[in-house]
This record gives sequence, C-alpha cells and structure tokens, in this order.
Amino acid sequence: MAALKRWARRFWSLLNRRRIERELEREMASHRAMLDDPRRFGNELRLREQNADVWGWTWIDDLRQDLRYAVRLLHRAPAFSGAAIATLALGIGASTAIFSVAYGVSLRPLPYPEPDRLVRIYEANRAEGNSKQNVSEAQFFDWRAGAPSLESIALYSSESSRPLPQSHQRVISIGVSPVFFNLLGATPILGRGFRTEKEYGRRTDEVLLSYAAWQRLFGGRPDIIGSRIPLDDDDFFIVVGVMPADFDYGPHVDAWRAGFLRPVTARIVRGWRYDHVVARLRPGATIDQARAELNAVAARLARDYPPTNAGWTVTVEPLRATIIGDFGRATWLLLAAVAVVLLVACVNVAGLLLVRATARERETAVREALGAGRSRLVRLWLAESGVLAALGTCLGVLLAWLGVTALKVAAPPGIPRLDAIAIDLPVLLTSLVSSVAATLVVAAAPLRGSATAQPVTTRLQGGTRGSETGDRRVARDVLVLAQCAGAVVLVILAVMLTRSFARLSSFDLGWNASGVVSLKPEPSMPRTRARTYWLVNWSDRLIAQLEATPGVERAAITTSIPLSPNFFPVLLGRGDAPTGAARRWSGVAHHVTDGYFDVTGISFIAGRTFDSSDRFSEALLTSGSLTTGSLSEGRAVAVVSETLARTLWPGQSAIGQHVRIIIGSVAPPREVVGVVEDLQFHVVGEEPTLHVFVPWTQENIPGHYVLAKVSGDPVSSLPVLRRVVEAVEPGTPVDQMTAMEALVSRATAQPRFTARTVAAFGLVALVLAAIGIYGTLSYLVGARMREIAIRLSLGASRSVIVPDVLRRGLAPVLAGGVIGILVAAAIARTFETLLFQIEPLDATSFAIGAVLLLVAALAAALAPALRVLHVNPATALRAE
Amino acid sequence: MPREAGLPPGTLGLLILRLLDAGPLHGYAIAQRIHFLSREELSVEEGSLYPALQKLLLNGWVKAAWTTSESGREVREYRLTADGRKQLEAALAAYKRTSRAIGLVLDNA
Repeated sequence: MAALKRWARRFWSLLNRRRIERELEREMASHRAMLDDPRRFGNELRLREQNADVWGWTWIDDLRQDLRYAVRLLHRAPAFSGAAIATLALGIGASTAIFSVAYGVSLRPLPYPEPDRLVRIYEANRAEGNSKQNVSEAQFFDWRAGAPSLESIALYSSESSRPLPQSHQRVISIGVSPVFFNLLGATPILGRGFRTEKEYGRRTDEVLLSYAAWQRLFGGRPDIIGSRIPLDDDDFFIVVGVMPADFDYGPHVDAWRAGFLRPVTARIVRGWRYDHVVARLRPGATIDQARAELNAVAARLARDYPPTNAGWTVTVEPLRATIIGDFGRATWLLLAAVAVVLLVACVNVAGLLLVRATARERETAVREALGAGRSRLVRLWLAESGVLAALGTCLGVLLAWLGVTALKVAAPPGIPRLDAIAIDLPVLLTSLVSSVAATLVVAAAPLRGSATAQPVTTRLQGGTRGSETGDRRVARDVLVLAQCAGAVVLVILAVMLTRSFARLSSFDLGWNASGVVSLKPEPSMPRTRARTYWLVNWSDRLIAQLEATPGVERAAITTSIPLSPNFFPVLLGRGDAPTGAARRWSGVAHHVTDGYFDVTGISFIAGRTFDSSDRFSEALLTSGSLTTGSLSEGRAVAVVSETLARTLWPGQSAIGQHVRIIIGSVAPPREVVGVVEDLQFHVVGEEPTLHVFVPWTQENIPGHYVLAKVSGDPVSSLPVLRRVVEAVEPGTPVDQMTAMEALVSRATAQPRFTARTVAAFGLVALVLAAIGIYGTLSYLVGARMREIAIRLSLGASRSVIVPDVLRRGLAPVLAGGVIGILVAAAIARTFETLLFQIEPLDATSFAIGAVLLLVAALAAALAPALRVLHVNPATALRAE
Repeated sequence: MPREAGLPPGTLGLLILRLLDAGPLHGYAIAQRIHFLSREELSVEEGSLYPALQKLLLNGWVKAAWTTSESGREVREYRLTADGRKQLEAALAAYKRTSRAIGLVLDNA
C-alpha cells in the first residue's frame, strides 16, 4: 500500500517536475540567503541531480536519452529500420488479424450463461455411418424422462417459412419446447417468455419474435405484443414477446413457436427423425454421464422398437462444437500458420540486428572503454529493439484492422459467428504480448553476441576488420535455419491445401450446375387428399409455360436442391424382404418431374428416366391407396443411385428390383426402372449417400423447388422466370432464387478461403526467409571482402571463391529445409480432415515445398555471391 | 568546513522527523538545529539535507508549504504528517533497540 502511494507520488512528481525543480531552486536561494557566507552553500548541481535521483527522474531521463538515440540510429539506417519494421508489422498484423478471427469464432464464450453446460444431442446409427442424425420427437420424450444428468432438455423443429398475408415478406419460424429459452438463459426485451409447459394445455398458439423480424416486419411497434400473425398453414399465432437483438441461436429465425408439449404417442413415429435437441447439463454433471444415460435409454428403445430403433445410439457434443463445426480446426491451422510467420519475422529482424551488432562492435567497445556499464549497453539495445517493436506493433495493429475488415468482406458465408470478430481488448492484449515477446527475441540476439565478446582492447583493435567470432556466426546460422524451417513447413502445408482445394473444385459433383437456376414457389394449394393431384396439374402447367419461355431449355420440379440444407431423409429397404426385421438403410428421397435428369445432367448408368407412362390417374392419387400400399392400377417406380443399387443388391442388376421407401407409414414397394451415377448432394466432398428418386406424378410433397436450365445468363433470367411462375397461379410468392453455380462456389468457399489464406502466409514466410538469407549473405560477403580480396590478389580463382561463399550461405538453408520437412511430416496428420483426396504425406507437396525454398534461397544468395565477381582486390583492401 | 561527522547512513531522516515532531521548520532551521543540538558535533550539508527531505516527501511522511518566517523571509516549512509520526515512532524504537544492543556489546565484550 505504502509502495503504491510512493509510486503514485513519483508519477505525480513526473508531471509536476518543473514546479518541483523551481521550488527547490527557490528553497536553496532562501537557504543561501540565511547563511553568513553564501559561498559555503554546497554544490547546487549535485544537489539537483540527487533530487532527480530521489524522485526517479534520472531513470526516465536515461530512458528518454536511450530512446532518442535509438530513434536517431534507426533514422540513420532507413533501409534496415524499414525492413525490420515492415517485417514486424507484417508478422504482428497477420497474427492479430487471424487471432481476432480465431478468438471471435472459436474461443469467445457463447453468449449464454454457463455455456459449457449446453449440449446438442443427436441420434446416431454407426452401421449406416450416420453419427449425427436429427431426432424423433418420440425419442426426445424418452430421453427427457431417462437422463437425470440433464437439468433441462428442449426439442426444436427445422425451419418453416410462411408468407405474411398482404405482403411479400416471409416469416421463417421454428417450433421449440417452451423451456427452450429458459434452458439457454435468454429472456425477451419486450413482453414475456413462454410459460412452463404445465400452464399450457395440449398446444399453444404463442410466438416470440426475433428483434430483427420485429424491426423488419412490424417496424419495431411496441403494440405488436398480443397481435395475431399467421405462421403455420392457416393457424394464427399470438406474439407474446420480442427477443433481444444479440440473441442468435444457430439459423436466422424470425419467430419461435411454443410447441412440443407432451407426447401424443399414437401420432409420433419413432422413425421420423426430423427435429433437433439442445440440453443443459446439471451443475457438476459431465457430458460422459449424459451420454451414458442417453445410450442406456437408446439401448432400451432398440429392444422395444427394433424396426425403427435397432442400431440407433446417441451422440452428445458441446453446443460450442456444433456451432463452430469444422471451422474450428481450420482456425487452429491458420493460428499455427500465423505463429510461424510471426516467428520467422522475429527471427528475421533478430538476424538483421545481429548483423548490425557485429558491424557496431567497435562502437560498443568505445562506449565500454569510456565507462558505459553493461546494463546501460543492454538498455540501449532494448531501447532500439523496443522502438522497432513499438513501431512494428502500431503498424501491425493498423494492418490487422484493415485485414479484419477485408476478411469480413471476403469471408465465405457460413463462417459461424462472424459478427463476433473484432479487434478488442483480448485481441489487443495478445498483440501486445506478441510485441513484447518480439522485442525480447529480437533484442536477445545481439545481447547474446555482446555477452560473449572478447576483451574491450581486442575489440577496439579489431573492430569490423577481424573475422567474426564463432559464437555469433553460429547464432546467425541458427536464425537462418529456423527461418527456412518455418518457411518450408508453411509452404508445404499451403501447397497441400491448395492441391486439395484444386481436387475439390474439379471434383465431379455428379450433376451439372452451369446454367441451372432454382426458385421456390409456394402456391396456395388444397389441404385435402386432392393436393397431390392439384400439384401434378399445377406443375404440368408451370413446366409447359416455363419451357415456352425464350431462353429456357428445360424445366423441372424437385423436392430438394443440391447443397441446400433441406432434404428429405428416409429409410430404405428391399422390396422383397418381409417388413419388420429387415435391414434398413438411411437415404435421401427426391420427388422429381420427368425433366429433372435433363436439367441437372445426372447421367444414367442403366434403365430409363420417368415418362408419361409412370403417371397415376387422378382417381388413384386422390384415393389415398398409395399410403396403404395397395395399388389397383399402374406401377410404382423409382430411380436409384449407383451406390444404393450396389448396397441393396450387391452383385445383381438393380433394374426390376423393388425398393421400399419408409417415410413413417406403409409405402408401396417401387420397381427400380433406372440407375444413375452417384452425386455430391449435401456437402462437396461427402461420401456417397443413397439417393432414391420418385416420380412427382406418383407422389409429391409441398415444399418444392423449380429448376430451369437456361441458355443465357442465369442470374438475369431469374426475374423473368419469377414472373412466369407467378402468372401460372396468381398470388404465388416466390423466393430463394439462386443460380446453382453460386451455391457450388459457396459450398467450396471455406476450403478455398483456408487454402488461399495459408498459401498467402506460406508466400509471406518464403519472402521473409529469402530476405533473411539475402541480408545475412550480403553481410557475410561484406565482412569477408578483405579476406576475399587477399585471396584474389594471391591468385585464387573467382570460380573457387563464389561456390565457397554460396556453400557457407546455403548450408543452414539446407539444414533448415530438412528440419522443416520433418516437422511438416510430423504435423501433417493433424490436418488430415482438412484435406480432400490428398494424403497427409503427399510427396508432391513436400517436393514442391522443398524446391520453392531452394529456388528462393538461391535467388537470395546469388546477388551477394556474384558481388565477388566484381570485386577489385586493390579497392577492397584499401577501403578498410 | 563543518564535517558530517559520525552520522550513520539513514539516520538523517530520523533526526529530521524527530525535529519536525516538535513543530514545523524550514531547511536552514533544520540544519541549524542539528548543528546546535549536537553541540556542534554534527553538521548537515545542504547536499544531504535536501535529498533527505525530498525522500521524506516522496514517502509522504512530511508536507511542505511556503510561509514567511519571523525575520520576514520566504521560507519553505516542513511539517510532520500522520504517516510521518507513525514512521518516527517505529524508527525511533528501532534505533533505540539497535543502539542499546550495540552499547551492550561494546560495554560487555
């Protein structure tokens, strides 16, 4: 406490230094006046100095002097200081920018209280290679009853989207258990949250609005509370509250409906796995406990309901992991890359300083001879590298700010929590720490050199003339080696990621995106059994109109478009197997019109596409016999994907076989009439999924897309197509208009982003390493000039000396390269999941990395080595 | 030239605190008092006195203020603070203990 007060007074004294000095002056004058003999007064100058010592001003003065001197020195060597500051700025800027991204995305806590207790729960079926399947409502109620380590657990549906009447605006909503918001710990800013389940009956008609939707749809009117808005089919909901602007759980949702109140056992089918579950662990409970309890429930359900639950277990993971997803690993890779760049930058500047230290040997010796203490010399060096680091940090933070702004613009969609990225306190602290570390690393190099220096007298005589000390040469070689190792690691990783990305983008998706556009119309349709036929009729008219439009080659309807999150998961079985105990496979069903395969360019391996012979009559479609599985007329048909055919009927032809598509209720076995090539449907680079295609004219569901293949520019055709769709059934809202190529490039955006960023870092590291090699080698040639001149004048051939110089310069490069390759090989496995069709020990990447380093090193070494060719021995000898 | 005879390091601060305990004094008066009270055995040079006073200021044990002396001169008077009084007591006790101990050794050895 007393020490703190003393420091406060010291600081105060620094600010009032003038006044204190004046007072002392006055006091001494007054004192002198009282003496009989004023000459008896002591040494005033010494007194003032002692006074400055007491208040700690001397220390500050010295520091100021050191800094001034350092600035003057750096100013005198603009090339050196410019290179050093730019190098540090680059390193610190890059690390700050990437760290701010990594922090925002991966490290910043989720915006909920005690976020570590939040988990996502999925169903999983290992045999089908499905570790994160959506959840059936029925399983949810069993989990809720059987997992005591969960404090609360909530179910929520996928998004559904409805137009608001008398407006072109749409409302995207999801149904959630009423406990959802309590579980997350979020409360509305307006109105109230949902009540507990007991207060509701079987169902509720309440919704909470998101802040954005409140502003966008209702202009932020506070009287929205209590008003009715239509959301689900023809139901109306009452707005009870508005969530705060920063509440953002996963997808962009406009409204949350209170739903999922209690099991209505008769209606819920265990195989309908469409919903999502989030839960909060009890304080002290672990995720392993929850996993064990839930798997016990799953095991019981597998025994009790084998057709729908055999083989199904549970996956539990932290909510954070779900939100961050794969981006987390990419982030760590970027962070590692940036750390290497920062290290290479520091090492580079350290190398530069070391060279300077050697050149200033004589100056240091003079200072020491004149009585400068070791600590004073150390402080001088620290001041110099401190000034470098401070300027580098300032520039670096500026660069980082620019970089983050650019990143936010250039970042691919789908990077989670992009808004959370900012250069704020934790980020700035990190850059401060890296800056301090940089100063120390950078300053340590020359310090180490001067600590082992020879006696002052030797150095005064020798100066820059003598050959350098062995210690310092070793230090410099180690620095070059470290730089080369770091650069080679980065370059190898960058080459690997770039190659992986190239594979990814040239990979055959199995469907053709070019010239294809998609729209999502939502005609108002009957809600009765007549709907299926109505949709067939509507699609006939629509496709005819579209194909009559100039520029449209072919049009089709489908229930799912590639690379969009909405698809229709089903269970598949062989039609000839008895229902019940038969083996089931997870797959995806598409309901498509005849032109679908033409539009998408999905190619047939065997069999035929759908045609008019597959049409069912209006009577059959409205009779409902499809859902009972008994068909009085016609053949139910399907087209399957290659892998499906191979999986269900290994070694046999699939054509003519029957496949059963189980969507909860009984379905007719469908005769396979065609087999198509596998397609990449959900994620680019996925493992083949089982796809089954059903004729739209036999079975259809609402929530469908229109696909059209156009001959002109896809984007400019969209408004035209929209007008056609609207004209077929007036009043039909149309949205989600996209060119499929845009979807593809979006899906590959993240790997592209990672590959490009790491490639950029690799390039930066390579350039830095080259600069470092060039700098040290130029110095080396300069320092050996005298020796070289002597050798030349004694008759040595230049063709002997040049290789000698190169050998000396490139030896640490080669050693560094070998170490870098070993390190890259050791860490490559960690990044295996980021690589697509590239082995972690990809020989090509390693070779390219090594060659790039060698080329850069040779280029950097050549100029100084060639200087030897132009040396005039006489001039060189006289120059000293 | 008066000498600073036999003043062990650090004791000057104690002497000043003790003098100020009796009432506020300016620098010259402090030097005079020490000279006088030590029967002219001790004499404090200005080069030691003022740094010692600054040290006391830094520690917050004394406060300084400009006043006019009885002789009509502008002088800077030092006054003991509460912290200073506490420090004086502690230092005095420590000094007495040490000096007694030294005395014991010197007398009985």
